[in-house]
Amino acid sequence: MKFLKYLWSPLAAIALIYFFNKPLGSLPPLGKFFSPFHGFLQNTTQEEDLSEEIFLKGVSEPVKVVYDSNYVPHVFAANEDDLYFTQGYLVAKDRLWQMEFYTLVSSGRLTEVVGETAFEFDRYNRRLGMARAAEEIAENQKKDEKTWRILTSYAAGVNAYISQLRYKNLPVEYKILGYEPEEWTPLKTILMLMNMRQTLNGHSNDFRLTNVLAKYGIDTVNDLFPDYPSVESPIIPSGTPWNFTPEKVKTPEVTLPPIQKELLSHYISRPDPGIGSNNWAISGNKSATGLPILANDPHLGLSLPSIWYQMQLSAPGVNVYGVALPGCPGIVIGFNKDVAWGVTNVGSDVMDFYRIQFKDNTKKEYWHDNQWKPTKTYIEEFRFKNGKVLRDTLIYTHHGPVVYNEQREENYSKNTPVGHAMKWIAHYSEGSDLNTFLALNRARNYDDYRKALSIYSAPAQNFVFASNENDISITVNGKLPLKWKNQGKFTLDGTNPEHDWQGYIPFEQNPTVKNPPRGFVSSANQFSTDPSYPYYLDWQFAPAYRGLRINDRLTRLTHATADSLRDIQNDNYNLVAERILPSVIPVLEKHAGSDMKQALKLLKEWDRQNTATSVAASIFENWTWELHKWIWEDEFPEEENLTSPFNDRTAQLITGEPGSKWFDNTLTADTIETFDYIVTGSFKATLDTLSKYHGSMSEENWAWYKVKNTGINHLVPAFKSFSRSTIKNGGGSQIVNATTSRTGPSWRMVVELDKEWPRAYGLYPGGQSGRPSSKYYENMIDDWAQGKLNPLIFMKTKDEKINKHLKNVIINPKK
Amino acid sequence: MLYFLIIILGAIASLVGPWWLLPLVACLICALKARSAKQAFVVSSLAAVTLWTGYSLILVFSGKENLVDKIGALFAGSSAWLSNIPSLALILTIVTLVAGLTTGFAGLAGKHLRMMFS
Repeated sequence: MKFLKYLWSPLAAIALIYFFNKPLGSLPPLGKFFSPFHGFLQNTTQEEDLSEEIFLKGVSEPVKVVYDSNYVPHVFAANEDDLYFTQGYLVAKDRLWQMEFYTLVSSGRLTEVVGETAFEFDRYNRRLGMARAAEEIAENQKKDEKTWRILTSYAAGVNAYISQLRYKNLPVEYKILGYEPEEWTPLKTILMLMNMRQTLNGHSNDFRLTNVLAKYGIDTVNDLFPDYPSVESPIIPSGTPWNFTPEKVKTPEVTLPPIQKELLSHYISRPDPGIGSNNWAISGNKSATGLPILANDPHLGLSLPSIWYQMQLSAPGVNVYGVALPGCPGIVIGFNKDVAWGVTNVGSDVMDFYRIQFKDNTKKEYWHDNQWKPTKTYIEEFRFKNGKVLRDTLIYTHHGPVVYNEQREENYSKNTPVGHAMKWIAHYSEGSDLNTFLALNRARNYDDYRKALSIYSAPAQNFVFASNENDISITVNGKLPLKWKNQGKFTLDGTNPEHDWQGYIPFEQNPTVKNPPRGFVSSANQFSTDPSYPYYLDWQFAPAYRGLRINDRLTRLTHATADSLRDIQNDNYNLVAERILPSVIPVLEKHAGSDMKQALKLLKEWDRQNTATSVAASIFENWTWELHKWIWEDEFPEEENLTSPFNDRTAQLITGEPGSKWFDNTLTADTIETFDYIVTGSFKATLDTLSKYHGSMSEENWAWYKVKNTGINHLVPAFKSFSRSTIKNGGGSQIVNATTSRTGPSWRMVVELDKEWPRAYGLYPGGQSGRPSSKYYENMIDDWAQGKLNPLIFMKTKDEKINKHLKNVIINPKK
Repeated sequence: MLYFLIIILGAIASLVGPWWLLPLVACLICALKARSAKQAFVVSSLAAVTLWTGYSLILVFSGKENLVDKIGALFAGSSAWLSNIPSLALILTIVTLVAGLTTGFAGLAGKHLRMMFS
């Protein structure tokens, strides 16, 4: 009896400890999370942990790390093993959670840390086969001893940091989500790079355009989705000679898909207009110094922690400054004493879909080249945070993985299951993208640049280059599939071997130009070349506006300095407005009611600059979107999985074909809407929508930065307090300063080449530290929003005295 | 005496081991030293709350960094009611509840275990 009387309190205590020691739904384990000895408050004590001297097993000689006042590490090592070990160690110290998170995304393992909500996302990423391709790439890298050594040194550095961690000094995201870091491996570096392949190459409109073809036929497709835009300023200037004999590409007899709708389109994401980039280099005869200046600003999804990490890496044979991807050794965009380089996305068609005919429901065989061929089957296992396990079967053909398969109701033979196999450059496992960047880190001249590029696969990039030997160049580079004209504009026939990719354009024949007469090279994701290039790359690229504006300004440039190029990076001029406003303003003047007069006046007086405070920019940007809807939504409704015509074709209709039948709203049977009606109606609708969401029209309420609402979210968007919103800056999706609500210039860099020592400037919208409480977490955002750049400190030697010095750290070998 | 013993030994244990060593320490000390069940509960609970809120406040006010507002906002989520509470108050409330309840009951358990076998 006495026993029972006293038993309840030990049980209660144990129950309470148990209760507070495990995650509660989406909440972390409250006991350790709120214990000041272990939990999140311990994370506010870490920055100062950077002691002057540390000892690590893994370095062979002392490494000196100089931190400047922007918390950028300048690493000086005695050999390359130590250099990449230290890079891994330091990046992990600031960005461990983030770099591991990226690998969980590309390998489809997010369910393990966030639970069931991530399942569909994970499943899609697994079906893309990224983890499997990454494993193949890692296997291939093993054969290259030098690269493998760098990868393993880097991994050892990351692991040296992980091994120091106990719960109390885990990055706070691990504590909130309730899991712990795994060991880092070279494979994880490849998985990190796989994310870039997906972000930059992992989108397609093939299904949607096939649906357009089924609904309207080839003539309409040719009219509304032409293969080259009406205005363009291609990356390789027109007139550049193609000094090679092109490979033969065979065009099959039947190239178009059967007339039937595809049901799978909503799974495959459309190309994101905000993902793109600008880069350019001007030659010495345009610069004040007589030597080239290079600029680059890659536009990516903006996130905290930032996608980039600034570093200087120095060892015998290499001294380079720039930005690295967390999880990846070396510098991706940067400069050294002699050269500078940068990248923008090519965005050509490297993801195609093949209609597969399976023999039966077991899907063990498929028809190709007049015979049944075996498929490969993989079982994907998803482990949920709560321990539950789900399995998914993934089928591979020789094309690639069958991304989704669904029974089609109108399919002529319901018993024959069909599916779509994806042929995607991201699965390409030869070559070494990493080696390209490592070689660029060491490049000294144009020849080194070309050699570095020759081993690159994907995602294809426009590599801009400048050297202090007064060379500038740009190369559209990567594995570009050999295709017949329009191959992959629609879905392809998976049974016909003539529809397979026929190889790749030889590296030497990839579009490139060196020291063109116009005195500059540039790219902004527009068409790589004009139609004279002997190969087909794609029928669509990013709209021409950014490229047109950049090339216009660079053409006019003389005696330029780094600041002139910085100014162009921040150019807010709206070329879309210049193109279409003259055609629509007269219409509004004729029809606008009194409620529209004030807005119309603003548009007429607008200097066409998308500045942060412009009200006209808010009206115009929302209106172009509304106008697009009013013109196309009736014929190309969202729910039918179609794609509506692009910006350039729409602008052509507005400026030159006001009588076009496409202006009529087909949903109203008994009236015919005119161009005037569409323009006026959409304008009124725009003003109504703006008033509804932002209040009545005023400089305060309708300022462009408020309407655009650029936000930089934490990688876990639910962590709102780790994010920034409504950043005060200008820009827009077709603007050189390409800032939208969620995307924008993720790193801005300008480098003045010099015979002695280059001068460089740069920053990114975030900070070096991934710790949300650090003063270096988002310290560059405000300067970024204002278009400023920081002088980048590029040290000549490890003992050089620098301004803005924070502290030195010596990493000694541990016996 | 009991109060200070739990704080000092609890702090040492917390520095080297997991968070639940604090209630374990309270349990042991109360088994040996507590005069009554009521004292065991109240003193353990008070000692734990003092230790956790005290150290939390030291970290909050001595640290150069502020994470309290961000974590507070995260826990308040989209609840307007919780968002109106100052973050520090919200967090100290949770700290008090977790430390006070677990350690209080652990102290009581210590005393009860002793009584069970005496």
